[in-house]
Amino acid sequence: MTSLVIVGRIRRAHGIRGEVVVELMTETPDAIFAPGARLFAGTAAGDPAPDGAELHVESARPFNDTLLVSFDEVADRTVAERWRDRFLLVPESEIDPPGEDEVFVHQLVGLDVVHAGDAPIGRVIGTFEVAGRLLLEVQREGGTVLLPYEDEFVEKVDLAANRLVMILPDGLLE
Amino acid sequence: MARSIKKGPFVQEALMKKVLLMNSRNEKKVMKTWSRASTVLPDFVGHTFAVHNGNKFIPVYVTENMVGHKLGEFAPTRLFRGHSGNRPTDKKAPAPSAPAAKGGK
Repeated sequence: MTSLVIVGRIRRAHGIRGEVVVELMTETPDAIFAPGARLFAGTAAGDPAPDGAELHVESARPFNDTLLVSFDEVADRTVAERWRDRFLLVPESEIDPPGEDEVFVHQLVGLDVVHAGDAPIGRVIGTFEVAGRLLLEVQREGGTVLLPYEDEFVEKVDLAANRLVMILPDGLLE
Repeated sequence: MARSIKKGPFVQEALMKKVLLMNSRNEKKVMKTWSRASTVLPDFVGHTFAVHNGNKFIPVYVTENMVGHKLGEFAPTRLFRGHSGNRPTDKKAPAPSAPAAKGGK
């Protein structure tokens, strides 16, 4: 089976008709949560549910920065409450693949960061989204450093070679 | 209550001096600052500031759409890794596959 990718997380139940508030973790919510779409249930830790349970979207509507979704399998609030904090996943083959000059954010984790000129900086151990911008947490000798993932500084992402080449301004690594 | 227009936007004096000096020398170095209350001015665009969040310095690369905001807005005091941690999600980032002429150093 193809690997599963997280597309949302159920925050809480909404109302008495079984709707749930879904925090979006996808850039194409209209396609992923279209009526009739199939999603795989995940655990609260983000792993696929051991029973392989599936959910089918009945309807979805925007609610602030989230979606209010009702599923065929969730009939009322009592059932909806049981889904709190659980993740929703879809097979990687069903989502839009990254464009030619794009990568999934999670693919950046584990890359070796090098300064242009091949000076090693460290390894990406995590990512943060801060004020709409991406920050990389890079493990170096003696601690971690945060680096801005900006077009201005990213020279090349080479997934095949597991390398991220950056041109950083003076003083960022101090 | 909004700040008086007569005074203009607040920017820490030392920080403003550093930015103007760098602009005059056409330099791009990271500037460490604790002044979260300083307003981002058009002179700041293209510079990178390391803004202290009470714990560590958060790198902030200033772009045009940040002008008028405070530096502190871009360096949250709590860094939330996200509920999904580093698990695969459907979120993408631009990734140049070939070296291009860039700014930086």
